[in-house]
Amino acid sequence: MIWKILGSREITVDLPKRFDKWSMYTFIDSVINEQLDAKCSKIFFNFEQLQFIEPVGVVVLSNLIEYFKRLKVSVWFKGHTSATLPIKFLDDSGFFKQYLSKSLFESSAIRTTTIPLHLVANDRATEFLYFKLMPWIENEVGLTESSLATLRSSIEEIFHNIRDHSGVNIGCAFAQHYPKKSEIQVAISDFGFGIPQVVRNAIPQLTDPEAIRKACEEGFTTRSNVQNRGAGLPHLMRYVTQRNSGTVLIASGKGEISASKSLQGTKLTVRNADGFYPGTLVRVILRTDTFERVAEDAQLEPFEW
Amino acid sequence: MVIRIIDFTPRPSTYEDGEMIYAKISEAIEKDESVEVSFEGVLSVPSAFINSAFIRLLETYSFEKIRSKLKIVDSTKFINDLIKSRFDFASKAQKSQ
Repeated sequence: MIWKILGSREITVDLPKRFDKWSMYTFIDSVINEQLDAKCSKIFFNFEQLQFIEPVGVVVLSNLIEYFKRLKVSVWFKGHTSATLPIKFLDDSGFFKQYLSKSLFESSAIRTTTIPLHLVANDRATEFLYFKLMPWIENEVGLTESSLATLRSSIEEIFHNIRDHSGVNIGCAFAQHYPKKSEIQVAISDFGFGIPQVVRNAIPQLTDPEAIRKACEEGFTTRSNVQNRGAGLPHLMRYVTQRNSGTVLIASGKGEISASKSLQGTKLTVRNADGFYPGTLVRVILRTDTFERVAEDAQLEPFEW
Repeated sequence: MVIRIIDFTPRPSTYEDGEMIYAKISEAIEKDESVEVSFEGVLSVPSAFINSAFIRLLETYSFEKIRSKLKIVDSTKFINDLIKSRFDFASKAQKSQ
């Protein structure tokens, strides 16, 4: 793929007041088009209006910055020097240290409820899961090491998907614990080919939502990698919803699919997205109050055919 | 023959990790020997590993043959469920072809 910078102008883009899954599309659309061309050669991200940012917002922003670096688009920050709650949160999360080489405030430190922004290379994904993400979650909820091994291998499916299909080498990950809601949100995203584009290599006539639904059917494989058997994403959604009562959202291109628990098993909802997502975003919301059930799955059990 | 997975890969994850196990199992079944695969020290694996190490066997051997020669030990409920559901799905898909 060849990406372009459309015009030499500079633009200022305000971060949304609430930067989450709902506001991300408008934000993305303000800086790149569906062909992944940048709309300017110099961009100012203005943090002034930001009041709240979810893990999804952090990975979207990070992916855009990483993407612009590759395109040689000049990225600048504005309105980020006051210690407002969201700015302090981002600084505590290592965001400004990542992109400005140092934290904004001396008092900033990683919060126990946050796993800071990680750019995870494909060959380091296992290491990230074993030594960063899962120990952090287990520590947050007071479980012993490896209690949540089954969730680890389920989340590993997302990184395998990036490695096998996205055409890029890096996924961006961020996670946040919301103790009052008994939730842990994990957001992982790449700015690679995107699911619809990959699926249409096998079935050209599908729309983006249809293509995402297809990718989540067990046994469907695009054979973009000869090793695929079409089990990863279906397994992730089934396990997280049925054993953890959590939810999974996948956004890619102009389609979305969400998975939640229902009486019949896993309810899948496929829809047109409110905009365009370049690459693939996966948001997993884990319920911390059902982790005991997940831990049971890591107990030894005699195997019988 | 006993195959202890962690002797081959300390953190079984990818399709490539499973290929080593597949080669050992194939070798045993080819000689009509029984083979025991131990998950000792492994609590969970992604589907790619299971597909590579076990499900690929269906391309060469019948499910009955695999079941009669392959024994899984020291495994968790998660691993057992994943192996059985993947074999179940792949066997059905094979029959419908």
